This record gives sequence, structure tokens and C-alpha cells, in this order.
Amino acid sequence: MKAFWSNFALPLVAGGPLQVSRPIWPKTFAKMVAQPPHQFGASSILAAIMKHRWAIGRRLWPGFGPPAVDETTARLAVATHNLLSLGHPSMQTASARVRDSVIGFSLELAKLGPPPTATAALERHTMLSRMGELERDEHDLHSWLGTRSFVGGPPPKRLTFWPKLRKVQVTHQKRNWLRELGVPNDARPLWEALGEANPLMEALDPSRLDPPVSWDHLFAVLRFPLLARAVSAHLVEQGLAVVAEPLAVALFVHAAAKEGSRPTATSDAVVFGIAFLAHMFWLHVTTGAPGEPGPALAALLAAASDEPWLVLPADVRAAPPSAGLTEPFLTRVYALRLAVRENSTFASEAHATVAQAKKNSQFAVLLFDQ
Amino acid sequence: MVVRVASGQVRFVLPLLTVDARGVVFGRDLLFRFSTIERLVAFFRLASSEMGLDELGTELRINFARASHGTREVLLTIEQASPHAIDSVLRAARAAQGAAYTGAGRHFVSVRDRLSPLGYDVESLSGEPGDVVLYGNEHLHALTFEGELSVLQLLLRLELVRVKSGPDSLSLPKLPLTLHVTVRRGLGPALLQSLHHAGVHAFATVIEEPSMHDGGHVEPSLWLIRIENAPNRLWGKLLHTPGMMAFTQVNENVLVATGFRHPVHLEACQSIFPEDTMVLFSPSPVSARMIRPLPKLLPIEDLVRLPSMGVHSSANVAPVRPSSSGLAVDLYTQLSVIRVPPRGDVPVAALVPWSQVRWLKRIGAGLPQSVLANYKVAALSRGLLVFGLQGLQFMPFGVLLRAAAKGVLVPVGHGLRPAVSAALLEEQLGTADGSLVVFPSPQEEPFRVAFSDLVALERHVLGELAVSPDPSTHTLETIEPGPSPDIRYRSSISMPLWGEK
Repeated sequence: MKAFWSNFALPLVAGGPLQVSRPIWPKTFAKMVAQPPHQFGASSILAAIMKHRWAIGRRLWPGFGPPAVDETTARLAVATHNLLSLGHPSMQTASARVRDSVIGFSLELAKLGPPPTATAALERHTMLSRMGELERDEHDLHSWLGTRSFVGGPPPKRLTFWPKLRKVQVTHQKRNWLRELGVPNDARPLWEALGEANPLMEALDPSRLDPPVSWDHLFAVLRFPLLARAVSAHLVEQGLAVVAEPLAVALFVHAAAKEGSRPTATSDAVVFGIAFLAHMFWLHVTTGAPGEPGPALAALLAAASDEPWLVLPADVRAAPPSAGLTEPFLTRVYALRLAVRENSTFASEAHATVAQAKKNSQFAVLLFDQ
Repeated sequence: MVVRVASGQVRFVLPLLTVDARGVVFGRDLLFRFSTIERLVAFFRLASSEMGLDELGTELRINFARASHGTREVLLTIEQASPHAIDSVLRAARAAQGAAYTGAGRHFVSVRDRLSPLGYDVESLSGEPGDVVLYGNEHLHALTFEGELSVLQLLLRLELVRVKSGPDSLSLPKLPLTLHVTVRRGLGPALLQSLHHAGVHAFATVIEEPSMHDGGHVEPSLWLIRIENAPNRLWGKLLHTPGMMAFTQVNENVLVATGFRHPVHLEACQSIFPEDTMVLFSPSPVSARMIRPLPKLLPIEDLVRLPSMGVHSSANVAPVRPSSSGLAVDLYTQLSVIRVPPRGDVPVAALVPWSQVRWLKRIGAGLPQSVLANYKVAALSRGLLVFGLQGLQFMPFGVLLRAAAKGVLVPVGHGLRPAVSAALLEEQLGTADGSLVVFPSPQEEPFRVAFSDLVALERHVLGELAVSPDPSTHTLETIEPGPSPDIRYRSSISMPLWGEK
């Protein structure tokens, strides 16, 4: 257990070599949860994990407090470990029954549901925030006997002896686990459960292709105003054209769903989605960030420009003109309205989305309501 | 009565009729007859919208005349009418329901119309008594002048019209680039001080006018202030404060009350107004005011009261270098922080008290890291010093500080005395190494912040700041994230527990 925390969980948050061994089974997990950390001498390791998780959380939200290493932490860490262990060469040859058993147990652990509070969302995220950075070493060993590949570690030394005589040549490359290797097909439900438990991971990386952006998941975290502001600031750093387009397109899809068909298929949710995207553009304009919005966001803002309550939070709208909070933003929005043509690609979707939002004009979005 | 002019006709009964290149007959002057003064105003409004009134002719004259059959008419005479403007001015006269005549002296005949495209002449000159005789198709009027009115007097007597919508109305809180304001005598100095404090570029003077109740004695009556690039935040103050009247410049020397317009397009009336006179058109019941000679406006920096001296702060400037003669002289001076009129100073730093650090946290959490990267912070016992490498934005609280020299910070609206050069301040206070010397207020001692105490503002740094002041706990450190997690598989996984459930 100590090895798990020190060799896997700590590098997962702090970076560095991440040891993945055989899957962790229910009995081991039960022992891990039942036994206090100091009993197995992992107090200092857990303190280091806490320190790094705290730093990760504060990069997103300055008021984030020290996170606890609790059962949720253990569930996420073990589920992640088991997910990664499925890529082990030895597990590639394991039977489907064994793999299904690992995935089934890990799925039980990962099914935590959406976070109930903003703090819980941040705590979960601090554990899994570096999943997108995971890398794996791959070595190709060429010799007179042929070519062999070794993943997740160097080839055995015995195979590299007498390199000149045996014409040994080793090529090495690092590949990103999420973007280049991908989640194993049979483990997709497990990956989706981890995404549902940690919606911040999706919210902070809307430009990814898999899984596609879903406002159902985003609402689970953006409903907390402090996280919504932090996420929008983080996204604006990445460039408006890159991150706002998939969000806007996903909102068009979300608004087209029949009202009530899903818990979040409501006009309130559409209003919030438009307000969130408008807030990103407002932040983009106010901070003088370079770049222009893409066609989807431009069409959406142009369609919503007739309704100030949709594109400006109520408290910003109430600010005096001398504060300079609204004029540059509205000027840019009106310029977008002139620039966007009625027959542009996203014009009809944007108008339909705004029409859906107009059904509920009582829903007020505030920038600083918490 | 009148006769139609034939093509090629060159001799006419009416004196001073000439033929232009098209064969159309026109006299030297044009005369317009209106039944009411309102129609004359309508004519001026229409004509001035198309051309300048000085383009119409050499002189414009308005006469009130009575016809032989008793009606009272208003006559406008344009002497030596410009051939280029005739068509436009005839169109305006028709729209204003006026009758147009051409001729010279006291005889005028109707101008050309559809019945006679080349114009009219008369069979014989009438001998009826009157100052002017008008020959029409079916009438002949002899009119006698009863009074005269200059165009300038007419313009001055017209009431302004409120602009209800559009960019010239008062509905939008936006000020024109150049705004004139008249202020009652008592309010003037306060407004000048306020404008100067706000860093507004403005000029002002006192308008004097004869006081009727003091035996013709001349005394100050109004302040006239011209504000360049007035910030929109002053919209309410300048336009809605009793005792102040804002004017928009429509002509070189003509001002019209902001939010109103004159019935006539004054932009086209440049030549009507005397060159040495400024005219202020105010809404009713205030009549238009002519100021002669042109007022000479002075920069408000020269008009505001001098700042009061502040309490000395003892910041010793190091002794000056020995003179070239080799005589070492120890000269010390004390720097004092005093209030000075701000001249558009841009704050570069803020001293945020600990009670307001939570505001900084909330704003900082919502700003992109690229924006926060422009700031450095230092935790002090009195608060948090936030220093903007490219100026201070997004943090409108705390004591805002400006740079008196590189690394020398004083509150906005304050300066250092004696006013030594920035280079000397930087050299003597030793801020070339990146450290900061802060003069927090006239009453407080200055302090120095070492360069090493300044850390980049990042969100996690904000998170480490306590809300209550405790200098011992204010250790700001920047934690860099480690390298990417690198998956290492154990070389061989024995699976003795594969069956475990």
C-alpha cells in the first residue's frame, strides 16, 4: 500500500515516473480504505500528495484549502491505476474475463457521480488533473535477430549487450497516453465514469476530441460561479478561437434537445450556456487578449446581442458607464452583428439557441454572486 | 402685365435683365415674397441645408412691406444672386411657399416657370407708388417698406429646438470631442479644480458683461470653459448640474446648447456672424448672447488654486558628490510628499490593505494567468504591494501609486518636493537594482521593498495570502509544477491474485 501511494499516487499529482503494476482488487482496496495511513508509514507521502494537490487547486482557485486524502481520493487513484494497468503488455494477453473483472470493479469505484460542491469538484480534479499529461516510453530494439518493442520501460540489458557485434540499435520516443495511445476500447465506460466524477477535466479542455464536449457534464461544474469564473479565465488563456468554438457548437446541440428529455435540457441551462460563452468573450475583450472569435461564437453573440440580459451579467449591467465594463464589450458584440451574415454557417443554429433561451427571461446570471 | 420671353430675345423692357447661356432671363437681384415670417424661416432652413448662405449673393436683406391692397408681406432680397445657387434657392422658396421674382432696383418680375421656361419680361413699367413693384402672371403688387430686419437679428431671435433622439440628443451618455461649458461665477473655481484634479485638458476664461444695476460697471458674470476630449464619466456633471450650461460648437464662433439645435443650419451661416464675436445660443427663456471681442481662453492649470504644502516625510537623499574643485560638501535635503494636480498619471502599483486582499483574490481568480503575469506582489505588514509591470488595471482599490521615477512610487495626485529629476531620484534612492521605494502618504515614512521580495502574481500565490496581517506568515513562494507523469510498467507482472474477488 505504501508503494501504491509513493510510486503511483504521488507521481500522478507531482509528476515523474509513475509505477503501474498489477491491478488492485477489492480486498486490497478495502484494506487500503480501512487502515489509517500512519499505520503503514505513508503519512509523509500523503502529506506530499496533499501539498501538490493543494498547489494544483490554488492555481485554479486561490481560496482552495488543503484537500483531504479520503475514500474518494483512494477510489479515484485506484480506478486510475487499474485503467492504466490495462495497457500493460502482460494485460494485453490476459483473457477477456480478467479484463472485464478489472474494469467492472474499477467502474464501481469511479462511479461517484457529479461533485456535490465546488470544493469536492476541485478536490477530485486535483487528483486527476494531470491525466492529460501522462506519457509512456516506447523503445524499439533493432538487432540481428529482428525488432522488438518495449513499452513503459527500457529493454532488458541482456538484449543490449555487444551492440556492435549484434548490431543493436534502440530508438526511443515518448507518447502521450490520452491523445496518442488512447483509452482501451473495453475501458471506455470506466473513462467516462472518471470524466463524470471529475467534470473539471472536461471543462478545462474543451478542444479535445474524445469524449466530445457535453454541456450535461459542464453544467455539473459550471453551476458553481467561482469555478465558472476560474474555468473561463483558464480557457481564455488557451485562446478564444480554440476553446470557444467546440463549446458553442456543443451548446447548439444541447439547445436542440427536447426540453425535459434530459435533466439539463432546460431553457435555464441554455441561458447559462450563452452567458458563460459571453463572459468568456467579455473577459477576452476586457483583458485585451489577441484574436477574434470563431464563426460559431460570433454567430451566437450576434444573435444574442439584442438581449443584453443574455450577454451581460446583471451586476455588470448595473455598473455605471464610467466603470468601462460594458462599452468595449458591447461595441465588439455589435461589430460582430454587422460582420456576421444571416446565411452564415451557424446562423440558424444560433438563432434557434437564442430563441430557446428567450423562453426564460427571468433567469439572471451574476458575475460575482458568490 | 408680364410677357413670355422668346428664344433668342436679347432686349427687354425691365431694366438689368440679362440672358444666360441657356437663354434664361434673370435680373441682377432675386426677391422672395413670403406671407409670414415662419415661411421665411422655413426658407432659410431649407436653403442652409444645401449651401452656405454666403453663397447666395453679396447681401441678404429682409423687409417688412405692406401691399397697396393692405396685406403685410415679408420680402427677402438677395443682391447680385449667384447663378450657381439660383436653382437651389428657387427650390427652397417653392418648398417654403414663397413667390420668387427677379429684377433690380424697384422693379421685379416673376422668375421662369413651366408656362414660360425662359422667363418673363413686362409690357411696360408700372408707375404705381411704392418702394418695390412686383410683376406677376395675373397680378401687379406695389409694396411699401415698413421695417427692416437683418438676417443676424432673425437668427438670434429664433428659439432652439430640443433634439429628442440621435447622437446629438442627451439620451446617450456621450460627450463631444470639444465641449464648451458656461458656469455661474461662484461655481467656476470649484469646477476648474475638479476638472484639473481629473486630469482633463481644458481652457477657461471669465466672460464679463455690463451689469445694469451697477451703473454700467463691468464685473465678472460667467466662466466659459472649453474641454478637450472630455471623458464620458463627466456627462452627468457637466450636462445636468444647475448653474452650468453645456454648449456644442457648430461654427467657428457659434455655440449651441448641447441637446438642442437651431431651426436654421448655423453651419451654413458663417458669414452672417461677425468674426470678432462669439455667439452662445441657449434654450428658451434665455436669449442668445453675443460676446465681443472673442474671449481668450487660458489653460486651467494656470487658473486653479495652488496646492497646499503637505507634512514632510523624512527621506534623506544621500549627499551630493564633491564638487569638481575637490571641496567635499555634505548637503542633505528632505523629500516631502505633497499634493499636486494630477496630469493624467497612470497608476502602476497599489498598496492593498489586508482587509481588501480578499477582493484581490476574487478578481485574480477570474483573470487569465497571462494578465496576472504582468503583476508582482510583495507581502508587507501594512498590506499587499501590487506592482504592475505594464501599469495597473483591474484593481481599483487600495492606495493607487504612480511612478515619480523608476522604482519610486508616490500616491496618485501627489509628488515629491524638491522636484529633482527622475534620474537623480533613481540614482540617489538606489532603485536601479529593481527595488521599490514607496512613499505611502504625506504623513507616513517611506519604505523600501527589495527586488527579491517581489514575486510573480499567480493564483496559488494569492491563495497563500492570509486575510489578517501577520508579517511572519507572509512567505510567498512560487511552486512550479513538476515534470509530466511518466508511465513505467513493472517489467513482469505475476498475477497470482487474478482470481481474487
